[in-house]
Amino acid sequence: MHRWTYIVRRLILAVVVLLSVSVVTFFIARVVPSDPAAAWVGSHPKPDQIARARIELGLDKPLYVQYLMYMNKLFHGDLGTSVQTHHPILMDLKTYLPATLELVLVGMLMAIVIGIPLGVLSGAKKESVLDHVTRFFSVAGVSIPTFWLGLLLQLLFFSKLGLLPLNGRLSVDTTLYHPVTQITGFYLVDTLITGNWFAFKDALLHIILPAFTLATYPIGLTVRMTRTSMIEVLNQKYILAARVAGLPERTVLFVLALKNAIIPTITVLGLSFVYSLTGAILVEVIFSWPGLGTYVTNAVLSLDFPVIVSVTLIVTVFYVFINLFLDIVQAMLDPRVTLQ
Amino acid sequence: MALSPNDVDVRAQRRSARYQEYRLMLGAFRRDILALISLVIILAFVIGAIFAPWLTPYPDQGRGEPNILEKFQPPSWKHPLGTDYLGRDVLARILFGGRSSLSIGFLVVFLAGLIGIPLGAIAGFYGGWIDEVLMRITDVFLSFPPLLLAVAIAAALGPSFVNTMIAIAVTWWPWYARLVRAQTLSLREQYFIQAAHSIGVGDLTIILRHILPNVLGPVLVQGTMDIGSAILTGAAISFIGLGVQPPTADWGKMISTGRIYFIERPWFAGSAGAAIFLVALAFNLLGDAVRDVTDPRTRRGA
Repeated sequence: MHRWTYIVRRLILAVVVLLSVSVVTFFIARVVPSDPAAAWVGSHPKPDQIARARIELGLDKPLYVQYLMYMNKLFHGDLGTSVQTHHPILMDLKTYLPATLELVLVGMLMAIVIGIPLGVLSGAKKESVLDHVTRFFSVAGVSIPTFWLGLLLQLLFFSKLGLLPLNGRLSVDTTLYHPVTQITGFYLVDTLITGNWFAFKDALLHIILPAFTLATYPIGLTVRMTRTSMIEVLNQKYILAARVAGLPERTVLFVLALKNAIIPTITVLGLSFVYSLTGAILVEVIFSWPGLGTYVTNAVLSLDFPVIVSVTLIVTVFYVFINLFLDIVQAMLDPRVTLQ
Repeated sequence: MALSPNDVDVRAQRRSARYQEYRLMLGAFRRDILALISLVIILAFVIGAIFAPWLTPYPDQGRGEPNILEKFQPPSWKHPLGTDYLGRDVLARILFGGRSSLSIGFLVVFLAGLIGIPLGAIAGFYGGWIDEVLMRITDVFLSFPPLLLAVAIAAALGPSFVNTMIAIAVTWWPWYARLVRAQTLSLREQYFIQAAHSIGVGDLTIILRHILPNVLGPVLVQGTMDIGSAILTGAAISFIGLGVQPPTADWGKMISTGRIYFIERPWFAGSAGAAIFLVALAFNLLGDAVRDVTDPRTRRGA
């Protein structure tokens, strides 16, 4: 199959998947709850609210009409209104989404910077002390409940060592005296653009703990995957040839071997990215990080059902697009992919 | 008799072969020890959960009875893990909490297998449009972020133990369906299946008597490895506020109620987190060991 044929096929498949995803979220919102109208208006509904919701959701109409109404609203950017904040959900998402994305991206950066080199060294020096320590931590990294790890890190770095702030995105002083001008919603970027160094440093200090907490699972996965594929690649003849030719070990490992070993790692990084989008829910609660996770958790506590369903849909759309992007990147990097 | 250079060479080879063998044995032994420790940890928690009422002097507190006079006590001989914000013995809560947290893990995997295995076997066995339809359905479920889908379903069904279990299993079965389908596809072409076909054995009999017994091995391996993650997911969902409702003990819930006191009084949220971590780690290590034993590609510790 030609590379472009593959990519086009993959795009069409993504559209089909997105449509099916909308059917599933529709079912969760309208069919699964015993009384969808009551669920739609929150924990203490008044009878007239329920009646209004019944009309708004079209619950008296057949299911497929309800679905078409639902899709029509979706395409017009109408995700409903939050029971809790009384804002249109789309507006809430615009303030919460950048905070989550910033956290996830910094976490991914940590996973790349820490995970890949550790995986390379651990694969190159199989059965060494470093290898055993790394492997233990990578198993521990996928077994530890992130929310608990967050608490432990707070206890260590805030309470015992006093090195890093406890929670939030900025300290109170910064919000009062060096307010961040909102441009992209990514504080690290916004403060850099506006040259607000004080706030930049503050934002950086605040993001370290939550981002690292979020990164533990991706780091564990990245290390394991890089290690396994390094071991495989290092057994190949071209590596032997490079060593015989006297190339420095650093070049052999980090340039020649890594270039081929990295392809599966990229897949794992993509999976970690989408994992982190949901992992952020738990981390944000621990660190009072004002993102999607905090939004959805508050929604769960106040039974703000429209928010729960909308966030699920939005994050899933992200999830589908990242997977699509990864498949395309892989098709570009590894010609064998398109042969399947 | 003098040794020829050739003999020396052979001896050296033998020695190195024996050395390799020792190394392998040592590796296997170390893995076995880890697997054994993991098994002991898991059994300890399971037994602790089953016999909780007889193992703790405070079974009522374990079930949720408050004991306000003794709240926030640090670990002591009387309360080895301290007491929580309602004065309940934390060790008792951990033992009782294991009942919901561990059973979520086992039941989710069981239920996911119950849905996924038959669907995967049917898809793989019949192929064609049945396969296509079933596999596209699994694609859709797999395109959701698992935790979030489970949260949405659990919220739609209402917070309870059973609903949480159903919600997680709904996000989990596609993995088993895929695994079983792949296994079935390769089995279908084998002679013993074709032979069964040729003497007129019915489809259902072939699936039940010849396919299922042969796919069960890999499914069991995957299941062992999944119980840990299922426990983590269950804990995460009850941490968020769905799942088992108070006063019933649950590890995830203990962390969510304990976290506001954590900096000053880390022992109760800390113990619950440690319990989840230990159990999940034990299942992951055990799963690794089981896979290494059954999968020849990784048997040499690669």
